[in-house]
Amino acid sequence: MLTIAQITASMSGGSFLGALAAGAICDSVGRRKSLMLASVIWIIGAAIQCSSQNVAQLIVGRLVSGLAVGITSSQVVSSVYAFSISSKHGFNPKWLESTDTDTWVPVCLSCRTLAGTYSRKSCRYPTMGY
Amino acid sequence: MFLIAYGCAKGVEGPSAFRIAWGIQGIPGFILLGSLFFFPESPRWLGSKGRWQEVENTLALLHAKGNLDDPAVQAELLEIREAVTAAQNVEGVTFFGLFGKKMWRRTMCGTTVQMWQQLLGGNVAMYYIVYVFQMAGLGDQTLTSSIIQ
Repeated sequence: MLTIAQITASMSGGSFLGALAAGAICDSVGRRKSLMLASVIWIIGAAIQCSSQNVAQLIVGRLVSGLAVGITSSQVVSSVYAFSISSKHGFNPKWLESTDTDTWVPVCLSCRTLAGTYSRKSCRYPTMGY
Repeated sequence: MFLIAYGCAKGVEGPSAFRIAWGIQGIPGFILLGSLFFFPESPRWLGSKGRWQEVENTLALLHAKGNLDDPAVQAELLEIREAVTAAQNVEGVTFFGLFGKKMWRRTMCGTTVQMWQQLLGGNVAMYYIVYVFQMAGLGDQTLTSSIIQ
């Protein structure tokens, strides 16, 4: 059971780190490129998991994927915020959120993990639930 | 995805069962990466870097099908200019400002909402539901949990 706990938690740990780094990455290279970076990291993580030879490799793979989850879950919402017109702020992101990668990339892993670290602007609507 | 996982668990023998399931998760990554090439850059970020011509073009593309003179575009542009100027005028804002005298309540609201959402146990149930069903003695745990998910 301990091993399973480690496998499970490694992605949350990765997304914690990813979400912490996301702000700095986004400030320097912009949202578009930070999301590109996140999807590349996600693909690398998937490849590491896919080629797992042992539990340690799986944990590392999920940690890497978790970094991508951390970046997307904080940057996708603020990207949608930035693209939407100001009168619809606070509304638009909510329904888009459920269709974008923020939610369904992790779903595809059979386990939705959210770092819990959100951008400032998104604090208005997460109460409506996932 | 849960049903893909179920199919892999039942229909595929050996290690390729989990390799397929974990490999498939890379596909959305490729879709996102490919579609991002057609995405504009965030106008607010461009504004913060002083690239105003690109801000205007992006806003026109997003809100007025490329019409630079649209009132909505001009209004957005003005608002972004104000926001960027305000952000540049405020100095000495650090990470620890989040826990400052007046800010800590907002920080607490934002973070605890996420915390309580996790503590409701949805994710925990998702991760461990197979074991829960196993303990409860349900027949086909993989199928039951896949359907419930």
